[in-house]
Amino acid sequence: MKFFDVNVSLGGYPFRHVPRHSVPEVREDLEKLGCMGALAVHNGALLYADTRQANLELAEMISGHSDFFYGCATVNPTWPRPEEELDEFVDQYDFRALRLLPMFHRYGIMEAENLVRHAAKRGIPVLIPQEIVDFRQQTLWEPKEPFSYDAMLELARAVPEATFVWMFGGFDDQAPENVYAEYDRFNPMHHARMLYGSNMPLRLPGALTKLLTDPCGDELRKVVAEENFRKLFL
Amino acid sequence: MLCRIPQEYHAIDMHNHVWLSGAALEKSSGAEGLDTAYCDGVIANADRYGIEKLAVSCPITLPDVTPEKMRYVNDAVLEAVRRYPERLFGFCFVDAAFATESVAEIERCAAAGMKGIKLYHQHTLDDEIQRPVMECAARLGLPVLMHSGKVRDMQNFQSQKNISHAEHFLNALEKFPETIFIHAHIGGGGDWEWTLRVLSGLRNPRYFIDISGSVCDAEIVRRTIDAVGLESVLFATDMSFAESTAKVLNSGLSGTELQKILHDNWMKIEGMRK
Repeated sequence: MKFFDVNVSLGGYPFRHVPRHSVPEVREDLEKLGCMGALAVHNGALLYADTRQANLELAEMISGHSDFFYGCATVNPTWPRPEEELDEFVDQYDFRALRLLPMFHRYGIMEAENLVRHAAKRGIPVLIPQEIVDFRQQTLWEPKEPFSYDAMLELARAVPEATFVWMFGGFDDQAPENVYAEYDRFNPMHHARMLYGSNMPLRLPGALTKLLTDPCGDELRKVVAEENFRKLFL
Repeated sequence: MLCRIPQEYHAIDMHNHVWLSGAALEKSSGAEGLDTAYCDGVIANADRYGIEKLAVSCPITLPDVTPEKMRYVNDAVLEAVRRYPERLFGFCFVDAAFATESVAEIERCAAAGMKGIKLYHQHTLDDEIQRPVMECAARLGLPVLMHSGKVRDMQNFQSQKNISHAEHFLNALEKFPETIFIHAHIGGGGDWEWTLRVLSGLRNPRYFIDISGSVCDAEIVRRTIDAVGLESVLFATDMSFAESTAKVLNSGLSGTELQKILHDNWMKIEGMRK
């Protein structure tokens, strides 16, 4: 099965050794599994105060792989001129998505409302992770608890014109139509609004095993594996 | 990509569960306790991922255990095994706070064909209160599968204050020198790197660890093997079928390594039974 991956993290992870995390290695490992392309974020953006520097690093990292990796800008809405930062990476580096990390950058999710409205105007989907790694094994420096699903829904309802992808969290019937979810560790539901993500190279592709054996049928499997990614990012 | 375990390995998932239906535990009586639909789902998942046999238990995860409830959940396990005798085998749940009743329950379940003991977080593994259970396990040659994890987040810590971690296992190996231990779910959500650092270099034929759980971080299986040795690593899913199958099939293991983890190491434990 061919697929796109909505959740690939490049660069060393600050809290754990991760093998094979260079860009060529990650690409090789993804392609071996059948991956046709991936949305990539930079792990440095978790901790950099100035996220623009992380986004610049990401642009440099994937510059020779524009046929495979699509950049996702991580922007802190409490820093000066966040809309300009997003525009810079969309316009100059062809980034395809915006990631918000309220639990790492320590802001209230509604502080991102203006930035999200701007992203919506640009047709840029907004990724919000519940967590990066399983919070039960957190280090001292990682957030103490997962980001709230309800808070994400509050923002999604406040900005219905924006498209959200809730990462590493699963979702339920409460989610409005503008919310998609990463197909991951939770029991899949609403396949029509799910996108496959691996969080490689931090994790092994457990969700791919689940998707390949999901009794949802080949039509929905293709929606999760490929079509929703094309619709949102390509 | 492999997403189903090849049949040639005869994979054994030695940590899985069946559960009671609805509020059955509150009644603690009657024969309708087993959630048969869930049990059927376990078999459907096993078929999907190429798992030949599964060890199942029905632990009480709340603090209010009684001897009656222990028997009730174990009866549900026996019912599950009767439903799928070629696929399932049982582990008996007990709470050592009830020493006499626990020993009697282990003996009853062993006589009925159960092949191990499942403990939850009512007490740590090395607590002296466990001695009657441990001595009974040793006498019958039944391995003790202990729910475990190095919990880092406050919510889980508050709800599992007596959860066992790697140091409890090292203590228990010394304190109960005839008992066989299985360390549950290295991928169960605890801090697995800390766990493996504590266990690093341990080579003990009475110590085993299973790879189950939803956490499928890169290298988790390989580093578990490096820490405790190939002979001590067991395949299991603990209900996380896809993640655990992916872990074992995508960790670059050789055929020999897969054979031991998926099948042979459990058979070695079975062979220790007196």
